[in-house]
Amino acid sequence: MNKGYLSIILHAHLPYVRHPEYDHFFEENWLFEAITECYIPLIELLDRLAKDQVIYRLTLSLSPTLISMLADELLQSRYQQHLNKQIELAEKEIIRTHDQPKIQKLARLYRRFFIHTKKTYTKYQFNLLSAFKKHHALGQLELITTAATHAFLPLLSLNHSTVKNQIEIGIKTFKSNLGFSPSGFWLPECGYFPGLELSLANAGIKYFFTDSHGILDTYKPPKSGVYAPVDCGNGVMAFARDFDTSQLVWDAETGYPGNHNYREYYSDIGFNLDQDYIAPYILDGTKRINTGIKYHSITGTNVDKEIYNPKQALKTAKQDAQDFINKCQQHINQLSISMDSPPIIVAPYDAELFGHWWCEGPAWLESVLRLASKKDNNFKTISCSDYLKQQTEHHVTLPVASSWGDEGDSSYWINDKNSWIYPFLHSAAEEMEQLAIDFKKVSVSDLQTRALNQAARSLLLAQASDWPFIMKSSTTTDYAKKTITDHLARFNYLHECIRKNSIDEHYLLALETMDNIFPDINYSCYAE
Amino acid sequence: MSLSYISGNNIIQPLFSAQEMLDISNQISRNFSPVAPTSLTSNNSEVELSKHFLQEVSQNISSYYAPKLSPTTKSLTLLAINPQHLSVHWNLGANNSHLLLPAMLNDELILRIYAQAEIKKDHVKLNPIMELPVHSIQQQKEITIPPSKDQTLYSAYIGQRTSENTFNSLIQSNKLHISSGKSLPSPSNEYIDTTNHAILFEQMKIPHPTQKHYAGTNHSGLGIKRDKK
Repeated sequence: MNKGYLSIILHAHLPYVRHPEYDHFFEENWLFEAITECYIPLIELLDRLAKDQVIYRLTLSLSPTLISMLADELLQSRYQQHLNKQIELAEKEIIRTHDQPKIQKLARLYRRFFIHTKKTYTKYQFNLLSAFKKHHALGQLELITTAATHAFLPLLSLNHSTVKNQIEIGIKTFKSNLGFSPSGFWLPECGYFPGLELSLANAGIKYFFTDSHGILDTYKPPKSGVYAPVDCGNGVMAFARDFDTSQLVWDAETGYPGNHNYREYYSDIGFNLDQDYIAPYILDGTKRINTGIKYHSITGTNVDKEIYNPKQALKTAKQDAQDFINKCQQHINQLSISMDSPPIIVAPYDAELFGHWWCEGPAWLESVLRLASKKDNNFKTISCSDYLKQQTEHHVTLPVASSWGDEGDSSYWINDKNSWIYPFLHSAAEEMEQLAIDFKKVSVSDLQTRALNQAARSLLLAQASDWPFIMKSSTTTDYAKKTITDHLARFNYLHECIRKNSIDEHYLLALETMDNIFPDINYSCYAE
Repeated sequence: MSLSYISGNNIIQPLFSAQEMLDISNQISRNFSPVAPTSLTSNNSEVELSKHFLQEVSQNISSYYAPKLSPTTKSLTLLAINPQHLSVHWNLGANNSHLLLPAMLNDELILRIYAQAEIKKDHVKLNPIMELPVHSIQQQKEITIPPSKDQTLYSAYIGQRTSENTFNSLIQSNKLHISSGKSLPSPSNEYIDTTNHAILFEQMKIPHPTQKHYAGTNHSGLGIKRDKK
């Protein structure tokens, strides 16, 4: 008997890391790794579920920057070159490890994996969006989107046009690539502030997600806690993340991905093998990076790492999936006693966790969806859209300002490492608004229109939440600082050219070529 | 890759090791595998631009148009970090520094933060909840604010305190609405000392009461170290 629901949401996002001005660019690897390790394995598991006629529901949030990169011909071409090099490296590894049978077996596995990945990529004609569209059309996969460049909206809400256009340009990009408007919206980093629901309603959005405390910390929290959505008062619904199911996957120590049988992410031959040998596959032949070939299991702390055993890891993934299902069943049983309506457990995760960080994540997810579909299960998987169609009575309350980041607030995106960006971002947003207002009153040439549109693209790209995130996490900080200052500099340049009516077409063309995102943007949306 | 040759009767016969043949095979695969066609063209033109030119444009623009604060335009901005902490940024314009320097040296240039419970905004006088001296033309600070049970409207002013103890405002910030939620500690008078214009920032460390809800020590919903973002 069905007593409740589980809604799994995968949020897929990468910042815009396209660099046509270079033959090779390290940060483009972020996309290539995610395609190989996350997006194609996800598509393959959806293909298998469809083939086996498994009834499931899954929600996938695709960020507009990721959508743009997946559809980009240059990156598609470069990805194929990247994949060819991975196949080449796996072949070299088969030869190198001829006297280490266990490792050679893994090298052969990697070769098969990369070749299979290439087949799937070719099958979908190098554009993975077509695969997601296919599964959406089959009715099992709900697709939603997020802000145009994944801006952390609470810190950019000084400029109403920033929030409005991040939302609306994000939705337009989704619609032009996927063919329909999404019902749901992933707030970047679950960053919510009261009032945001109005902008979402204006954009036609029916629901969004907050972290648990976004709803639990309101003065009048609903009796059903996070196990039913709340109406923000304007008909837009907020679904809150369930803490317990989040912990099972997110927590680095107690969560499933930390199991000793799983593959060790940090043991990569890019860091382990001789420099001369690995040079063609690392950055500029000198800087060691991940190659995607890893031979060890997590094993444990302060012990020698054991050779990875894929069969054992797969078995563990299935056991963990069963454990997850059991815990959800128990939870649903308890909740259904006290709740008037069927409870919904909302379990959102970063899509890149599955496959990239947690190699066995896709296998775990596939098992969860298969197990959940069994008839004797006491809950079903559901999309938030379908849940809202079934349940029409909702508690009305406005969530509190919140995020799913460290401390649950905005502090990860504004602190001593990154707060310097905000005066520039606010100032550029004001200038963009003023440009749009001023040029609304006059006749505008084609060249001016192009420059104004490009200025809007530069502004949007500077607003991505990824750059302050990286500055705080102290990872690829130089790249983050350079990217945000480059985009702001490009905005400043265009702003000056437009104001002085001295637009250099060749320079403009260069900027359009480098930052070719949002081809249908119309700057006048900043004047509305 | 090294190649070996044997010369004889004008015939050059290459001898390849298995490794060398694999290398050749791989190189051919890498360089000549069919890939989707691409060209570096913009949305608006079929003109192809060289990578060198693109790099040059990027470098030139970044060198000459790097973001910098306006020397003439004044700004004062409040942003909410959480219900207990605000980020305040001001830029009084470098061109104005000679005019403001005497006041800064004499501690007469003041930042005032005002808070007003929104429910009472039509009935109560707007009172400052804290003041701090302004010693630089542009700065960014994190300030701790008193907990409030009600939705509160914050605003800030920078102005000059005169010898008659009046306050001449130079610039006003945006207005910031903060809804604290139930998790805040009860309001306590120790944080609010408007009579003495006490400086109440940076020393106060209020424990965050809602931490129990968050997924471990992750930074962005993640429980796993994320090295690329």
